[in-house]
Amino acid sequence: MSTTPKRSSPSLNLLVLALVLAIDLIAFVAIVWAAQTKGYYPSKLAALRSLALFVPIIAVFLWLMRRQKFRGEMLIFTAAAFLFGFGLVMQYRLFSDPEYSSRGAQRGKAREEKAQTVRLLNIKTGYDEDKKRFMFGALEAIPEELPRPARPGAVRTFADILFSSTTFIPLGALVAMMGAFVLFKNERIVLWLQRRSLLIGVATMIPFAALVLGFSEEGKFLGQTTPWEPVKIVFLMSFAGVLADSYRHLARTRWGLPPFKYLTPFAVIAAMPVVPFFALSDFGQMLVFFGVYVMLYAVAVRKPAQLAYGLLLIVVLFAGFSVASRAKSGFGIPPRVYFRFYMWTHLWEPPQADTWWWKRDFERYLKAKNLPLNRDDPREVKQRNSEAWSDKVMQQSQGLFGIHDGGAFGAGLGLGFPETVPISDSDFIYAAAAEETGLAGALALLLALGVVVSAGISISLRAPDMFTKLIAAGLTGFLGLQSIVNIGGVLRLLPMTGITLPFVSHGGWSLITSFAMLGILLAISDRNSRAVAEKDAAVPAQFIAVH
Amino acid sequence: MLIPKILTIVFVLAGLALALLLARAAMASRTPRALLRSALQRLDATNRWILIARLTFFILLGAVIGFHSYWAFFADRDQKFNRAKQLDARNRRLAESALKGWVLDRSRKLENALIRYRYDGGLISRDYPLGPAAVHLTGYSDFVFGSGGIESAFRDWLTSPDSTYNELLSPVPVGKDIAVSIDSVLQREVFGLIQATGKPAGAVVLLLPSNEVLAMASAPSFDPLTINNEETWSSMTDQAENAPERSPLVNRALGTLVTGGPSFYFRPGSTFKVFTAAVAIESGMTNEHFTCRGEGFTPPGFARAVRDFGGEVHGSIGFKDAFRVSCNQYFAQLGLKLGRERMAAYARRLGISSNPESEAGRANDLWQTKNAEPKSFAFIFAPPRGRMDLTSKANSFDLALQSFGQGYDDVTVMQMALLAAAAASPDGTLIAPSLQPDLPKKIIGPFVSAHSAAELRSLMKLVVESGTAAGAFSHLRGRISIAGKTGSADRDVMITNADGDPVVDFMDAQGRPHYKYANWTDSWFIGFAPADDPKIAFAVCVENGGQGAKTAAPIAAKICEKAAALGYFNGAQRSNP
Repeated sequence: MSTTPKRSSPSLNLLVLALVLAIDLIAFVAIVWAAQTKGYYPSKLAALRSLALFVPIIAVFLWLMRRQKFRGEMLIFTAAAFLFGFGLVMQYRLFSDPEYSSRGAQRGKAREEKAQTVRLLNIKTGYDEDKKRFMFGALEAIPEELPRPARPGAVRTFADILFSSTTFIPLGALVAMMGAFVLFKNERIVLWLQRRSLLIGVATMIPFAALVLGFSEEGKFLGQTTPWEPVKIVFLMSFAGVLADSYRHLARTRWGLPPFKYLTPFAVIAAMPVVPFFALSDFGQMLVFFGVYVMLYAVAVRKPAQLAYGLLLIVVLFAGFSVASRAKSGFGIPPRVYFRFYMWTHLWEPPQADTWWWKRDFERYLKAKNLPLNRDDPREVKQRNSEAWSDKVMQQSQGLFGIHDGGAFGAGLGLGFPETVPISDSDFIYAAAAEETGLAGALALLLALGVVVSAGISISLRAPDMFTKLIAAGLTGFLGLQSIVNIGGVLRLLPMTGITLPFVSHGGWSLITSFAMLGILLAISDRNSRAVAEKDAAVPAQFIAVH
Repeated sequence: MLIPKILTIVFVLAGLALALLLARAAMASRTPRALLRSALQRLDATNRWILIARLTFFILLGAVIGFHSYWAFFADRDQKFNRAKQLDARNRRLAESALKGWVLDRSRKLENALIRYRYDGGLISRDYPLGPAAVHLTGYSDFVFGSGGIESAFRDWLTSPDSTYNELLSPVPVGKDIAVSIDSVLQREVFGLIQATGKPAGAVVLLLPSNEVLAMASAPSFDPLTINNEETWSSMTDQAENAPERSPLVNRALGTLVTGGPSFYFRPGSTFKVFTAAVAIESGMTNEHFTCRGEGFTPPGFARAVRDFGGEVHGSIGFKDAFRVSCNQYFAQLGLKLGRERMAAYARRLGISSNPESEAGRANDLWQTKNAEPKSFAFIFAPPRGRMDLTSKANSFDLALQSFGQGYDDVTVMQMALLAAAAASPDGTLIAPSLQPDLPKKIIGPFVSAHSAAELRSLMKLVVESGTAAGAFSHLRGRISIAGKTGSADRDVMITNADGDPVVDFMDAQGRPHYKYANWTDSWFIGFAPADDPKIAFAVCVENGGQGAKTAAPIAAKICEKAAALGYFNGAQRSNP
């Protein structure tokens, strides 16, 4: 009896991919149309380029099916492509808006120009002839468009569009996916990875930590990019490898504690991401790592008592840090974290002006805006403090206002104001999507995300050996938990962190890392199917040491 | 705007359908339990825990959906959210894209509009064609610094969508226009006249019998378009707070601030004799003769005397003459004779409170208004209630002074215009003023009987024919007949420098500073025209303008000339009876 599990038909997946392309086309048309009412003209060439990215996606799909003779579950790829397409739409919406894509004084000008164009439209459609004649002299004198000075860099050539990061990054991501897939399909590589997991972990950690500690500055490196994101995968693999080797020993506890011989290397591997990401102040990533590692430990060792110990340890550490920071010993929880926690719980109420973790930001605000302050006047201090706070929490509050305005079906693509939410093309892309496509659009996004996680879990469930099982669960955990942390931060379910939404945010290395993870998951899925098929065919399989 | 919205709905619904399709496929290709158990027994336990992890994820996803729903549908139940949302950057964009309604004058001609939009050099911006001449009416409008005047009082109307607004074609509403009772041409003229004096001044012109405001001007003034930066704004508001007597934000005709809120009072001077005379006529006490002496009139029990302007002496004088030549001593004695209670009763009819401590405040119900939200309108345009002190704490001297418009009398220019209008009304009633034309007149209440009003009118006619104002109006004799009353209000004013700080005169032996005072005489004239068939009523007050006849009366004369030229006296312009 064949126990090969059903998998979704490839033609269904192909159909869905084609339909995703179709609805994205509709979305692009909507954006271009809406932009006209606001007086700017998004590049149709750029739209075509973005839609054309579906060609390599479908090509990769066919490559997987034909050349690689993929036997696994394609659903995860299709769902990821859906999310990618949604991300394409939102990127286009935001970057084609002259206000969002310009800086400094140009921003204000672009905003004004948009508003003036809407006023002209209102006059054309809403004013009677007398008023029109009065304002413009004659009906014929009403301009078609308001005269505008030429904006620098407004016209982009075909080459500009083709050779920009918006083209390269998705292509790079697909290449990364294909590379990861091919690598992970190779049994020898997988074996080697498991054998040398501890070594690989340490070998990656040292140069990475050195780089980071040398250049760290509040989490940004080489501009706004975060090129260490793929390192996450390596860390995860080394953790999974060590855990796969020692999980049975770790489960033999004495008063709930695992034997030290196995605990030590494990603890080293587990602690590794903490130091550099702490130095980078990237607490979102730390949170995701922590969550995934705990989950992997829990599913492998399955001793709730140990989990309790671990959590207790964390709580003690956290409390220790927090006491240290309150004592202002210069070491401890950074003010930024306090700020994020306070913002999470008291978004609409500014803290007192002299609160230790807020003081410096308040002063910075006053200096930046060049505002003198009469500190003896409590009313004025309160007023300025309130202004400084509103300015500091702007990203979160503007995002929430947008979500509120979005309602059930959104304000309409191109008709909302996501450009008022800072960094809404990566960190807060969920807010931009919610504002323009509403709860319904966000639901579609969340459903697709659910499919990705579900399919990833499925891949993990079917994995025949612990190592790949843990890798699959870990990667799925990354994708799922990172999404929850990102969206939760936007919605105030969790404190805000500077983390991106996988597949939807196209910023820098986030997309490449996500697709690389996808490639690995697909490879594992393929392996699973072959393992079952071989087992069915009663051929002894080359399993990695089954425990 | 319609097409992108429709396309978005298609995108969303199709996207949802696709996602559901994917979800269904995911459910269909789930790993059967049997497989999990059979092939991989040893790892079955781990698999179970992995399933728990998946469940956790979906619970979190549910929480996400829950939170999103809260923000999308229920967030506005939180007052803190609503308050914070006022700072939403989107509001600015909506305000900059929207077109508020135009404010037209009573002619409803676009070229006379008080507030409109203009197109200039590629920019469509809010324009105030009368500028400083009408800013105390129009107010200003800035996204950061708020609005004042009509922009604020009628904001709800001006921002509510016009009937021609097509929601499907335009993303932001076009607001409704409104016509106010002001006559632009007259407004310009009145402002020009009071500004030319170079002194702080206020003037009101009302159209009878409905008491629609034809003009309301105040000087010093400012250009509404200058309120667009922090510097100007804070210096103007600081000045309004610390040195209101110099501030252009004060609407001197109404005793309010352009930005909303009460400001200061004036002392009416001899124009208040109209009130005392009305009380006397109504009470039948016009047959008295009192003596006006060189040493003044000393109320019994007091050492201080009441004197006339410039030490004039009128001897034994009767009611008519006393009014005509504006004899203070006569009216002082008349007021004492009329008594506190009677004066208080008639003051109440005019909306003047006689107990400044308990009934002070703003006359929030004074105006008649139709299309403005009452609270917004009252915040901007409700004048401080006129007041006198006729309580038991006020002694005879106080009562004497108040009878001829000095002492504790506190009024606004509008109050005095309404008094003139009440005198001019055929049945002696007080009608509520209005900024909107063609509303049916709203009677506040009776002031005096029709007969008394007629007698009062003939008295006021005398003033212009042969009384204190004769000189100022002599050039109009035969052409326009006007009736009114001059006023010269004396007050001691503390001299302040530009920052509103008092100027020190000297330091006394104990080291206490004594500040410099000056004696100012505010020039007043209130009245109506034409005298026999009143069509307009007015009140003019010029601070430190000297005697009434000197500055205010000539201004009133020019106002009447202009009103005649505009056709208000020959029935060419009418209001609802």
